[in-house]
Amino acid sequence: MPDPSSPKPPEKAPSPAPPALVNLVIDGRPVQAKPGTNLIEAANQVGIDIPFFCYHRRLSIAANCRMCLVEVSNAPKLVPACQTLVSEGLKVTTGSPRVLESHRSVEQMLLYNHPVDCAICDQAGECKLQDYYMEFDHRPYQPAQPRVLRQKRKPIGPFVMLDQERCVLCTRCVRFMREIAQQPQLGVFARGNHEYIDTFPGQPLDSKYAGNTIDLCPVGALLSRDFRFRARAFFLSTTPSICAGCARGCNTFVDHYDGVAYRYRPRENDAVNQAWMCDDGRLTRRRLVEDRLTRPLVGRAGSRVQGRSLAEALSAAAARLKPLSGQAGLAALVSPQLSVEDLLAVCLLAREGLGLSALYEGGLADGDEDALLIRADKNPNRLGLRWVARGFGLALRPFESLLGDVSAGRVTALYAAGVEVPKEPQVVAAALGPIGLLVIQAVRHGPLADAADISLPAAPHSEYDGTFVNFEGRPQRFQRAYPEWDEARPHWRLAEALLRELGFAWRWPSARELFAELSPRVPELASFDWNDLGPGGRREPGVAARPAAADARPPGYRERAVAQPGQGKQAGGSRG
Amino acid sequence: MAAPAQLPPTRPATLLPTGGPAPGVERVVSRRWGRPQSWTLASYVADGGYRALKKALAMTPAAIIDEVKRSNLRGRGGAGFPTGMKWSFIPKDVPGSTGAPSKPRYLCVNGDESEPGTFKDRYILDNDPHALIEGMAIASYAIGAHTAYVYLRGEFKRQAERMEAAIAEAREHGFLGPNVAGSGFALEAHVHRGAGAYICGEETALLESLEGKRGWPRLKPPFPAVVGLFGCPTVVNNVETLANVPAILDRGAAWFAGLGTEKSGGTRLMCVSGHVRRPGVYEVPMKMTLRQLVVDVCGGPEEGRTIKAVIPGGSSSPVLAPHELDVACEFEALKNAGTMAGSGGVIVMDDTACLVRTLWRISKFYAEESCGQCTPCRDGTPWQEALLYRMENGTAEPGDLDKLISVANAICPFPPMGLGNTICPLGDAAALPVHSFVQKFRPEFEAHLREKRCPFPTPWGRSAGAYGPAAPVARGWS
Amino acid sequence: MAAILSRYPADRKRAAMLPALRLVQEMKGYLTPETLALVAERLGVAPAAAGEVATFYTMLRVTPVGRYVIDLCTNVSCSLCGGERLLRHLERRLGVPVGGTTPDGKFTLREVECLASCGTAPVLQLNEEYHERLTPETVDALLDSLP
Repeated sequence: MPDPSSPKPPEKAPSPAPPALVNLVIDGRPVQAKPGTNLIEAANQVGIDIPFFCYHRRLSIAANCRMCLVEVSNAPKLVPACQTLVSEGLKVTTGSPRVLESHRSVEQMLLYNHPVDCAICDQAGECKLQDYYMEFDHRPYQPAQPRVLRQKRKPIGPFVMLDQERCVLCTRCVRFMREIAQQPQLGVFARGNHEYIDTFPGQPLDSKYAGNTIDLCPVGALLSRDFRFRARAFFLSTTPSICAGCARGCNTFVDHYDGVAYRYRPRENDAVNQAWMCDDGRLTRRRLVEDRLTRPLVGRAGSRVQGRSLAEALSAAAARLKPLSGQAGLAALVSPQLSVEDLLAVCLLAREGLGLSALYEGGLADGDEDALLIRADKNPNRLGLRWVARGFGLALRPFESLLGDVSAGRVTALYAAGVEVPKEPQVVAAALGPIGLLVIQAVRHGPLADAADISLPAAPHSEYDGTFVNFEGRPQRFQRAYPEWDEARPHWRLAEALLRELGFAWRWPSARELFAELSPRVPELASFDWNDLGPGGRREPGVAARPAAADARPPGYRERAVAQPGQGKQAGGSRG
Repeated sequence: MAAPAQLPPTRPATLLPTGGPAPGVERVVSRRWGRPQSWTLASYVADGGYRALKKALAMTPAAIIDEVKRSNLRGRGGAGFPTGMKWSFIPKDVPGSTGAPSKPRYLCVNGDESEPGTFKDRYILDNDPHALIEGMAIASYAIGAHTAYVYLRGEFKRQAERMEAAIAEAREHGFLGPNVAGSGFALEAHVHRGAGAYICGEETALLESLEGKRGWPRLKPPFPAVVGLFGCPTVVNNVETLANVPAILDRGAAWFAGLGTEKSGGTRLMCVSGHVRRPGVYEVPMKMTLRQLVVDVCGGPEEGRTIKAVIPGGSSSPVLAPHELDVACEFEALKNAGTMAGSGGVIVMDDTACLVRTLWRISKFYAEESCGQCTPCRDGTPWQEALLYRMENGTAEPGDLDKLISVANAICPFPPMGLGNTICPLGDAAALPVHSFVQKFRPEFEAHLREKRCPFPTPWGRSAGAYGPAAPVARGWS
Repeated sequence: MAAILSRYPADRKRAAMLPALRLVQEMKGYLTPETLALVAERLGVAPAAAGEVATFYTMLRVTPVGRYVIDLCTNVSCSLCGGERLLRHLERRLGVPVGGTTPDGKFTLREVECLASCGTAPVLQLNEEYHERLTPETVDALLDSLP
């Protein structure tokens, strides 16, 4: 095939010592960048956005969308900014008529076979095609006649729905599965205009990381089956949070509207989860909304007293626990699903209010694990529990010994903060049957809540501020996304109320004061300041923490390249 | 369904050049075509074959590259890049001082020949496979490659068989294998058949295809000379280019350079097809003009017809109007004429041809063969095709001609050449014909729009074409 | 299969993809997902990689075809010399549109791009054998001669 361009560059002598920084000019602005930086990142340093579809800084360069074409001083052609590296003295123009025309053309080409069904598309509001149409194109829709028809809704895996018609074939998903997840389950099939992304017949996209392809998709081609048709992206608010699905503590955004969390999205953090999270983690969103216990339950199932308020339930619980305080039959079960702040208050209650010297360690059973993100420990804060328990001088006993102690009659009353247990809840509830008093704090309904004498409604981590300590000992803050449901309250607030009912004077306006007051008892927590903890995690010395609000992407957020000097060093802080 | 039936070959075993060489021309590549059993080793050796290889093996690789550089041999695949220079881009290391090269090098022969209008390599493979093998061996020695792959387009079943037989024969007689011609240089050659994709004629797509992937061209840089096949330095040369190499070594660079013009040495194989009386492959001197070739050598159009347009270098090259034909069939001259030498596929259209229909057919080809990797080509080529189809069938709207040009501009602005917005030159190849046809024959396009029909009779002799762009051959499962 | 693999470096078995798929196709007539998965496994790649390749190349087929596959070129040179008329003739004669297979499973008619036989246009390939300089009459004779 004729190739009008010269196929070979003149051979360059390798320069002996590359300069520390390269100087170039982008749209008249001087820019200094590290050698090897591409033009998209370099322009981003000075606040110039170069549009793109296929580029992603964590994936290989494909340069196939041709949206990022810019004019450079050393080539007659427009060059893709994602593929072109900075070079000394380069002059880049990103807004010339020629460049704008090329943006416009690419946008038109991509819309040529696009169904433009934004009205029913979940991506509407955070779609690059929409954004760039408004930014560059503004021309009437000129669809192909007839359009190439492809599969409109194809469930390609347990988590992902594929709409091939909306696809712009940027191949980000294919590259992600190949390069990051290392499970090449997606491919590009057929050729030319008839090309489509698909799975191989009989080989569904069942990777645990399939959900990331949804986030990567710049348009509405890959959709979450958990989120599809449930909310409009542009109505959602966004709060930085931490995934409670396992001990990795992936940084997330909780997208919510009117007090309901609709989805998790991963938040960039080079030190923890890069830009990814697993599907199991995404599905833990359901724990925030399904089967919620939002009012206290007083009395066991069958003999339940209706209509008790939280205050009444707390007094009743305290009244029944008080005479047992310091007695031999009383025990406490604590779940590593609780935040550090919860655990500080709960341990204080156990130690001083209930006079205990040991805790039973609850938490979900271990599951599968892999080399990328997923940890076997399915609890977000086990290390935090161990730190805090040790700080309060409380021994931790394994959960299995609890059931034995119950059946042996050594435990006759149990206070449980969090009812996540490593065995089937029905089995545990039956085993706990002989207990005289069972007071629990639970987020959700379940066999244990039914078996309890008093169930206090606890809030999940999307409803209060707190901290999880991940498996490597990195404390990471999460934020309150929306108010607690009904009478549900954070565990620490319930423990505080019980302590007051028991006659103590502890009172904390917020988790910050609680942390300030109690964390000195835990040596591991002494090294950091709650206020300065970005939602991402521990602050590195010498790097100013950003206010938390700057971290949150606005609802309907638009993805741009991320380029921040020193980002790699800052373990926690990150910005979408 | 049952496996396809095996058919006996129904055509003559050897393709003969239908036109033969132009009279009075020194033949280089086609020298032996048509001789009895010209594809056998015995016949080749009897004609002085493998003499150049022995001579080359006594030289240093640098000296061979220098000789090829001085011969002004330019790539015959389309770009016309100087071959010697291409070979010299392979990273050097001096045997003996630094030991064995850390990475193997590869030679790939581009026999994907799929540019519409081009059919010369097929004749070389059929008539003189040993010339190619000898050229490969010399080139491999010059660049230090010990493995060479001959990538043939999938449709060349017979040619692949002949090539494989020739390689086996050469190996048997020691012209390939662990000890080439007794020199101690080792070279293995393999035939690799494609499976039907025009894009695999692009060198990086060819390498991807050879690696067992989709033929998606790679991003450049890095160029194949540095990172090529299996990540190793690789030279990709056209069949005709390599078939010229033995003659250069045999008779000297000066002789070869003298056959051509100042910047392009040797002769050229030109493939003439379309509306001429004697279509075929002709070996012509570079100085011959297109008009001489089409009218004098190939007999021009049928009696009573006149030439309307000529595509000089395969369907990708900008078209020439009849008054522009006095241009030499040479890289620089054609470039100066605003077109390109390409792969030497001359397509002649006489005054019965509807150029809108012809351009539609060309655009349909690119739409069908676009690899689908980058946006402008993937979606722009079908758009061009759709607009042209509407013009040809009288359903176009007045603005469609401007729209067509704007779509072509989005793929590749023209003039000048070489400003394409796509990853590989297929985008340029798809846009250049559109630009040039509309530029040079605008009245014919406007007539289609004005009359809302094609003024020419349809190819099957009925008016009003209900016959449209055929449904694309279904691929894939969905 | 081993002979095919021997042509490529040992750590680059994937390079044998095209020859291997061709081999399977010659045996089975077309490529089913099962055979593709088998080839992929043999070459040490994901099945999707084989699927991607099989659907990219025109000569590889993932749907059944007739016993005789007619690949007719209608590219520029061929269509200047009557390729489209020939296509129309074949469509009428076989009673199937382009891409179709006759009900008796004998013929599949496909329209293909340039077959590098422009000097001897129009041309078709019948099960990968070239037939050149055709007219409707010679095509009829050719098809009539088939068992």
